[in-house]
Amino acid sequence: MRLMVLEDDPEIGQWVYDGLTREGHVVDWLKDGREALAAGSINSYDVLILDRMTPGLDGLSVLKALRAAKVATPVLFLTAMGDVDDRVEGLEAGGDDYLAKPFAFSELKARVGALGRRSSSSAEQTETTKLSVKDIELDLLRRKCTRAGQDVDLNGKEFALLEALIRSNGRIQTRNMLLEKVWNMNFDPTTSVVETHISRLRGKIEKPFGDTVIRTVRGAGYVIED
Amino acid sequence: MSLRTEVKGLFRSSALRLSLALSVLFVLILLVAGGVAQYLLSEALEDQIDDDLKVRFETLAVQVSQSLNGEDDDDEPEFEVDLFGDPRQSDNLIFFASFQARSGDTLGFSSRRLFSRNGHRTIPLKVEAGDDEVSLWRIYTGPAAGGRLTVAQRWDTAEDLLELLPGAFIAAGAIATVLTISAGIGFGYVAQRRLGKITRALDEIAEGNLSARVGALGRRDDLGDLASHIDATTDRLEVLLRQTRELSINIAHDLKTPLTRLRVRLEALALENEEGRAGETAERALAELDRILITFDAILQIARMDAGASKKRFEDVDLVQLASELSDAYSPVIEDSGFRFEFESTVPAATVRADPALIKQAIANLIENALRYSVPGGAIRLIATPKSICVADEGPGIPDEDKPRVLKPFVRLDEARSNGGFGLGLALVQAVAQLHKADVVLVDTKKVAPVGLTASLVFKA
Repeated sequence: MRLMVLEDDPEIGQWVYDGLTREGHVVDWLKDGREALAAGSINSYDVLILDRMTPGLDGLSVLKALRAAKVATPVLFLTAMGDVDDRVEGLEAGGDDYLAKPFAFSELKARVGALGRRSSSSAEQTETTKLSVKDIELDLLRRKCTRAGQDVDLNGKEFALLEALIRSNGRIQTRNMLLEKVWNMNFDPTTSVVETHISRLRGKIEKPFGDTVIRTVRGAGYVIED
Repeated sequence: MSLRTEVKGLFRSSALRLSLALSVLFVLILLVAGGVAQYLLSEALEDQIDDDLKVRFETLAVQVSQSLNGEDDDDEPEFEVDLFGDPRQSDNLIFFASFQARSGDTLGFSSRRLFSRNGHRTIPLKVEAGDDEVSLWRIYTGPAAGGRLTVAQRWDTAEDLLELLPGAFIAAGAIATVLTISAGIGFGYVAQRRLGKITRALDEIAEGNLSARVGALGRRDDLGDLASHIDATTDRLEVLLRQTRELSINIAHDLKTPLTRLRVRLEALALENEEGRAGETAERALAELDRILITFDAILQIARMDAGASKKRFEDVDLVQLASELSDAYSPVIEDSGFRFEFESTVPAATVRADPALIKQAIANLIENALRYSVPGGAIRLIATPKSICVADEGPGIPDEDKPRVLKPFVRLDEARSNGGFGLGLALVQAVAQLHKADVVLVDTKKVAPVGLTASLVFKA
């Protein structure tokens, strides 16, 4: 993917640049908001990663200007302004995701991956009613799950969790992403809410079939691979 | 403002209370002054009448003895009768005299009482036969020409004069009271209007709107001075608070950048040494750093809420629905930790104005506290009503004297209750409650040990 990073701190910028490049992305790293606005309007990126407090023009204004110019590229805020108010402000201005500093690189990687996928699949925009991976099938209308033809009885949250993992299409979902998507929780519970639900889900979808579907990526999250 | 609250406010106005108190004091002073005046006046009148009587007595005594000495052998002494006067012959008589000779014969009006003893007295006399009316007379009796002479002056008339006095005092008192109270109501009304402005501004300030001002109150007096002082203080507060907010954002930014760099380096280190001991150490350092960051965020969040965070994300929240979402999220966690979990809810009947994300976080904190501090085996219950959410555990509970204390930041009880947390969980719940004008209520779950703790977030009806 082609990415743009707006980050004025050299060390953090370098780390993000190196990390994303290592992942195989093409990264433009800019340190000034005005340059970022210019680059964002001219070039076609898959995802923009914006800091909020940057010289020249702050990240929020860059986003607003881009959206006013009908640039629909997905935007991820990566900022020290991590308060709920700031997050809401960023998302209301047209941001697609918000990651507060300090962050784990795995979190950034997963979120950028999810946003990139969104921009490529938004072209198709087909309303799917069925999802499937391997021999697992989800009927989204009837909220029913079958594996290898057998009905698997999932409760609401287990179904939502499995749906989120299947929809991410082979990309890692972090704990925080799942908390936001499935439980609508924007804070980090100290207890193992995600882990417990994953283990319950495994008990239903893996245990009777004796294999592993949901892979745990240590220090990162969970993924279902085809 | 409705009329009722205005009237209610008026009665609480200090100006009206002051005027009422002054009226009462004034009436008391009038009563005492009236009493004293009446007493002094009646004494003075009595003295004057007594002096008069004495003079008349002496004049008459001389005349009586002269006329007695002049006509010795006459049985019927002849005086100048008009000197004596006779109350029986005239209604309007205010003065008379009677003489009782040694023989017992009486000249003029006769009554047993008239000559009973010497000196000054006030006696009632029935002067007209058949008439029930008794009139009061001041008399002086003394020896004259071998007999006794009594001179009398009507006392009723003097008393009539005295009776005018209380009337005058009551009228003056009533007029003064009415005037003072109406002035009090007037002043009270005006003062209340102005105090109302101050109160409203202070209420707004207390709610976190530091741009609220009392403004000009019209006159330059003590209330006007108070208003301008409040405004000046609020100006200062607003500046300070803005500085504090900016400072906290700046601290957040300034500290978060190095913290981010620190995290970045540790993560790089862990990545580079995935299989070595250094990698393990880096992982542990990362975990420790993340714990610090969580605390750091909690402090900032509490500080922002205490500073009167905005309420723009407030919406109508169905607490029962919200609790049921939390129940979905936490019931497997609670059960897998070895507790029984029970979710009790009433049928939702109402919503509250709240920030759902904050309420969720607060209740999650309560649930996590219950998990952290109680012993597996017991039950953890989540109870939701349209106005409250409670989390009840069966752990060691909190002693009554410590209950208010634990809601403050960084307060942890003994070691038994301090495994892990930084003492910010309940403080955050308290900050969320205050932002919602709700209460955090801590009570014992049971009467027997372990008592357990039931923590509730209760919204005002």
